[in-house]
Amino acid sequence: MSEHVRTALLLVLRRPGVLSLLVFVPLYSVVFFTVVRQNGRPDLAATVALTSFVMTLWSHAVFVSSEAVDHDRAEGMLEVLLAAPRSYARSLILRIAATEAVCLPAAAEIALIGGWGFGFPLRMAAPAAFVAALLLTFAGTVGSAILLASLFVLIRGARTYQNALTYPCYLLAGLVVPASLLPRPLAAVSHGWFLAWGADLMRDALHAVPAELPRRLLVLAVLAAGQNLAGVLFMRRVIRRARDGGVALHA
Amino acid sequence: MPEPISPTPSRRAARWLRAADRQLYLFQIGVSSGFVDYRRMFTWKSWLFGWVLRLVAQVAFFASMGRLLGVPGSQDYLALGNAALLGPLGALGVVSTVAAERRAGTLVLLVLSRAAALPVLAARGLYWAFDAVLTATLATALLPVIAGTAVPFAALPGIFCLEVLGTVSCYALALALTPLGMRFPETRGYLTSGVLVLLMLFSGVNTRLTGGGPGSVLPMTHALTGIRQLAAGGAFPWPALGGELLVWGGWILAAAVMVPWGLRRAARSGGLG
Repeated sequence: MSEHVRTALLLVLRRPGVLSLLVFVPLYSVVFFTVVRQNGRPDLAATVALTSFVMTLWSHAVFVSSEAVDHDRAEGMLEVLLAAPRSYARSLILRIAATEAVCLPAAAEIALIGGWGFGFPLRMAAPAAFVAALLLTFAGTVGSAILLASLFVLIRGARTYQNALTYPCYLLAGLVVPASLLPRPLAAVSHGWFLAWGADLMRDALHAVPAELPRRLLVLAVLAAGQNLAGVLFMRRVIRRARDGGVALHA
Repeated sequence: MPEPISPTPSRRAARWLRAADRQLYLFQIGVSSGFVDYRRMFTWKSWLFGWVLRLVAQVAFFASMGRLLGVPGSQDYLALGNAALLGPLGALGVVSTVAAERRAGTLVLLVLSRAAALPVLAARGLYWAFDAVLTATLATALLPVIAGTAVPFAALPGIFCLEVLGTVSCYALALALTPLGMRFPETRGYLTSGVLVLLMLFSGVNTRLTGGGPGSVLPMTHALTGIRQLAAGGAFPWPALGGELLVWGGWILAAAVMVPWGLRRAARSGGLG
C-alpha cells in the first residue's frame, strides 16, 4: 500500500506545474476576503473561506487526481501495468486518494490567510461535525476523481469538457449561495450530489451544531459511498475493456 | 574613389514598403495557422458546453457572491467586472501555446529564420484574444439573464471597444511573459493564475479601486473603469481609453524587449530543445 501512496506523492511533488493549482486556488480566498472586508461583511469570512477550500478540493480532483491513468498512458506504462498480475485498479484508487490528500493542507493555508492576513477570526462552532463532514466530502471527491480518471481513458474527447467541471459545479454545489436558489431542475440535481450536502454541512458546522446532524451525515455518507462505488465499478469496467483491446492505449 | 551611392528617398520608401509587406504576409500566415489550431482545439459543442458554459458560470458564481453580500449594487458590480475579466483571462492562453511551440519543435525554426519572433508569435496566438473578446462580449450581453444586471443597449458598442482594448492590453502582457513560459514550461500555471489573481485584486474587477497602486499599470483597469461608466449610462470615457492605450503601449514594448531576448538566451543555453 505504502509504495502506491509514495509513488503518487512523488509524482505530484516532482511536478511543480501541478502544484500551481494548490497555490492559486486557495489564493482566491484573498480575493474573497478582500471583497467581504470592503463590503463590510466580516461575518461572511468563514463562509468564503470554506468556498475557497471546497473549490481547491474539487479542482484538484478534476485536474490533478483524475490524471492518474492518463499519466500512465502518456509515459507508456499503461500496457505493462495492465499486464501485471497485481490489481491495477487497487493501485490506482490508492494513488488517486493519496494525490487528492495533498490538497488538504490548503485548509490551513486559507485559515492563515484569513486569520493573519485579514484578522478574521475563523473558528468552528462544531469541529467534530465539521471534520466528519470534511472526511466524507473528501471520500466523495476521491470517488469522483476515480470516475473521471476512467472516463478520460475511455472517451478521449471527455477531456475537452474538463473545464466545465469547475465553476458550473461550484454553483451546483451551492458553494456561495445555497443550491436551493438555483433553477428547479438544477436544484434537484444538486440535492442528490454529495458535494452540495458536504459543503452545506461544513458551512453550518462553522456557525453552530448543524440541525439534523445524524440524518445529514448519513445522507452524505450514502452519497459519497455511491460516488465511490460508481467510480470503482466504472474503473474496473474500463480496465477490463483496455485488457481486451477495446481502448486506445497510445497517448 | 567613387562616393557610395545612397538610396534616393523613393528607393528607401519602396524598400520600407517591401519590408512592411513581408511582415504583413508573415502576420497573415501566423494568424491563419493559429486559427487552424483554434478550430482543432474545439468542436462547436465542446466550445459551447465545455468552455463558454464554464466562463458564464464563473460570472454567475462571482455575481452570486454579490448576492451573498447583500450590499445594494454589489451583485451588478461583481457581475460586470467578472464578465469583463473574461477578456484578459482568455488572452493569457497564449502563454501556454507559446510553450507548446517549444514542445512541437517550431521555436527552434523560428530562431533560425530571419523573421522577427514577436510578430510571428503574436499572430500565431491571436485566436486567444479573438476568443476572449467573443466570450466576454457574450457574457456581457447575457448579464441580464445571468445576474439580472441591466446593461443599456446603447452602451454595448462602447463596451465592446473597451473590452477589445483591455483584452489586447492583457495579450501584450501575456506575450511579455511567454519567454518565461517557454524556458520553464512548469511555470505556465503560475504565470497565468498569478496574473489572474492580480487582476481580480487590483483591476477593479471585484473590489472598488482606490486610485493609483498596481492596478494603474495592469491591463483592463482603465478599460473596466470606462466600461462601468458606460454601463451606468455615462458618456464615452475617453480618459479611460487613453489610459488603457498607454498600458497597452507599455506592455507591448515590454514584449518587444522580452521575447527576442528570451529566445536568444534560451537558444544560447540550449533551452529550446
